[in-house]
Amino acid sequence: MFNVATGGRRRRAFCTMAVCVAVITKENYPLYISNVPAANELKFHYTVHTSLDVVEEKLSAVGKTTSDLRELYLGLLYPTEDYKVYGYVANTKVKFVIVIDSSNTSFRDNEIRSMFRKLHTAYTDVMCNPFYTPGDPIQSKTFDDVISSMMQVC
Amino acid sequence: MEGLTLNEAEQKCYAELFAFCDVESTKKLAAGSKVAELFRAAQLPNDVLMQITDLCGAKRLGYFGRSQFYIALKLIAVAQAGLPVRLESIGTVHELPRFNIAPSEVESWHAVQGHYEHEGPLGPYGSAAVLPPPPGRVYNKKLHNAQELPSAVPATTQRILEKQMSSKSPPQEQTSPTVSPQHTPPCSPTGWHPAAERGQPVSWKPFTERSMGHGEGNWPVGSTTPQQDNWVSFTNTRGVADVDDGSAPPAHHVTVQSDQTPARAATKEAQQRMSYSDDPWRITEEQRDYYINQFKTIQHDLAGLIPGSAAKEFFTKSKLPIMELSHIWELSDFDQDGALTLDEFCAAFHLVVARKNGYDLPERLPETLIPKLIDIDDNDKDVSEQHSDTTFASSPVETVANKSPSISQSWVDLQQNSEQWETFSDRSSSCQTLTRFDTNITPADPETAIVHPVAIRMTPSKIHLRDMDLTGSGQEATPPAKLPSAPLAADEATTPAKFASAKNNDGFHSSESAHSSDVDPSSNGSSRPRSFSGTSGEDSKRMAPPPPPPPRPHQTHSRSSSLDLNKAFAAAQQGQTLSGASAPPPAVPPRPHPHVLQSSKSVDGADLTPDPVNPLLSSQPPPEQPNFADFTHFTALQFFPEAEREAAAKEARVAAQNDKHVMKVEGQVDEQNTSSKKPSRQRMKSEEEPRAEVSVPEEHFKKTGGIAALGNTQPALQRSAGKEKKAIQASIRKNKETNTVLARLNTELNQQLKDLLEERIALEVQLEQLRPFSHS
Repeated sequence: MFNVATGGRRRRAFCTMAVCVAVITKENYPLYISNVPAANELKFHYTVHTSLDVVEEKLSAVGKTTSDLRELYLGLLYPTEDYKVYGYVANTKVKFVIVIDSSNTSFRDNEIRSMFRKLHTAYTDVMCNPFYTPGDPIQSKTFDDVISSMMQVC
Repeated sequence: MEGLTLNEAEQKCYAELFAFCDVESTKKLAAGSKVAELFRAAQLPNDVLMQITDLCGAKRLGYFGRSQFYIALKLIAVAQAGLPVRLESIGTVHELPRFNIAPSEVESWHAVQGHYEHEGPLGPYGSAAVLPPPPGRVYNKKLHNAQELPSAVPATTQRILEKQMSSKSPPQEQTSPTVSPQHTPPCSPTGWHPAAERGQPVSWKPFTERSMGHGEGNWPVGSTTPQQDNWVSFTNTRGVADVDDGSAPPAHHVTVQSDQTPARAATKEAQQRMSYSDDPWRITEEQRDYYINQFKTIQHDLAGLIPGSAAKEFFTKSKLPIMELSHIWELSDFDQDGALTLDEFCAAFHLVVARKNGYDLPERLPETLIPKLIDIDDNDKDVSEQHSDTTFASSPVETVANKSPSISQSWVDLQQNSEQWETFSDRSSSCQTLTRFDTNITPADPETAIVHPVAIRMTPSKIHLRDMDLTGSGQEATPPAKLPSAPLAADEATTPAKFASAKNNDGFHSSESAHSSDVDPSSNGSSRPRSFSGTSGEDSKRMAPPPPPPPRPHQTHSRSSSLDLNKAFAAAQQGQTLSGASAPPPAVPPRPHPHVLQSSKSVDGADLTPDPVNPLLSSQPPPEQPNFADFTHFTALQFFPEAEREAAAKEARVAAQNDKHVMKVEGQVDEQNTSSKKPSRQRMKSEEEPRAEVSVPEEHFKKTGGIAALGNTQPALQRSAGKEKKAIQASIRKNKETNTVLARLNTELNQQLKDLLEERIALEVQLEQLRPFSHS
């Protein structure tokens, strides 16, 4: 039996250092929030919560222009002194928020986008699982693995 | 005799065995019936047994003393572990030897050991004897529970079992061969009765039986076992002590609460027997047939798919917790399309069975369960799998063990690669990573006839299978319709087909990203085209205007522009007298130089450009040389008006070159992209011009000097007369051109200056940001 621990997966030297990742539903309640372990969770929860306002604002702005049915990469929502918050909305109005430590070398936009794509893909995989009812907190191990891979610090 | 160190469990076990064999209590075991039987029960080939007896010295002595017996037992363990039988190996193996105890022996054992309260007559000994590779820690738990038995002896054997189990966990594969199914699948449920009676290794007994014997203690974590008892009643006839579950199938009757339980009992038992020796994650023939039958009850078309909802209902009947079912789904829905193909269904079923039997669900899908493509030769696949199953059963497990780790390793590697790849593709050309990926896969592929190393979920599955060199597995033949194919992905679909078989999604994704640079390959290796491809398209459009070229290092930097410069340099050198800084190696012109060196070498006081030019001129690498040369030529010209026509021409050229030089200098200062274009342009111009005039004293070359020379041409013109007017006019024209060029240059340089200032501001802001704030 091959119980290869997912933690055993090696990461390349390049690693994204998201400090916190959150998935928020259309109704703006969180499906999933996870932090880098050492972090102060409450602070990140708060940050994600406040970022929702910015997301809504951006969404409404875009909504006026086009009924953009595709997903939206919102980019940097707002920077704080310690970290930057990036947002991404899927066409189902599910929001993904990634908080990245500012002390990291600034990530190229592409990298953030790719992180969001990975997130979205993992989220879709969770959705495809018939045993998962939408609206439940996400407890999938696979999803956790994807997230922790994104949050791994090298 | 070699020093033999036994740990506690071994000590006890061997002591028991010795006592068992030593019926006459003589402390010497004749190489007689009991010992021989015991050794035969070890299921080793005869020659190995002979070797063991030789090694342990019994041959020499003519009998098995205690130490010889112990050594022999150790050697048996060694042999069963797959190591060559050597005295030296004794120290390495600390597992207990396994014996298939014949019924009579078992019973005599009973006599020897007294009673034990384990549930069946065979009890723990049988289990100990036939321990199949335990799958995981759950078994230890069970053992712990079972250990509550008061009897010391059973406790010992329990501990031995435990020890065996735990020790066996790693070399699972290796241990299974010794317990290969020795019996043809009996058909009657009653045949389950104590293996003792049948002389069969009572490897696994259905879970439920255990529970009947013991209550809940032995159940694996998380299963709703009591219900399972009722559900699976058909095989629960006896408490055959079984610790194993070496094979998933035993409980597989437990799984689906479909119909015909009694009818299936026989089949299941048969399946259980067959799969006994196999890797728990391997599906045997019978199992597969059973799964296929179950599949048919849901979906008649074997090549079709079971929608997620139907599968959910079906597997919910197994009464596993939803979380586990969810995990099983994640594992088995290989192509993540929300539906199960036959292979996926079998894998899911198998996992449910395993879970019911107490196996922990793996983090990743075991290779043996990776679904194959269905649309291609379903029958063939089944046949091959069956074949592989049967061959597997007979072949030494070591090979499987070797293959499996390698497969899993390659799979792990691929997973890793996929992750690496996805990040890598973000940054660079994906084609290169593609090739790298190929080499990773191929080694793992061939040796296993069973499973391909890579989890691939690519739409054009048939194409892939053709490409792939697989015998036992392949990609999911997800009907393209199933995949939410985005136009982009659809385009990409064909390209991945070209890639080598076990190409992970990342190959797919890399090709995608090669095109769009936006698609992010999932960590699962799922290259499923997603609906957001539209965005990708949009993004690619956004990205269409190529990003500005990276700021080229100083124009004078000879490396990147070496071609041109070298040409210029070479040309300059043709006739040439280089400036004092002759042929210095091309070095990156240090930026501060322009500001630092305020040379005073302005030639004629004319100062077209600021001083930066001067120091550069003096300190610059060869690229500057030709210009310098030209400059001097130019400046020289102004002092030698007689060669006017030539001079004018030369001036023009030199001016152009000066411009280039200025450009370069400025570019060096600014490090701007835009300037990079200009130098090339200028360079081209200058290159076009004949270089013959380079032969000029190079002392004076300064831009300023050149420009000054420009100005000086005017008086020169005035001095000229007559036929030289034409030449002068020509030179005037050229000077005007030069003027315009220089004016343009000026504006561009100003622009660059502005950009630089902006950059500087941005950097300063960044610096401010990076500075730690005193608050929060």
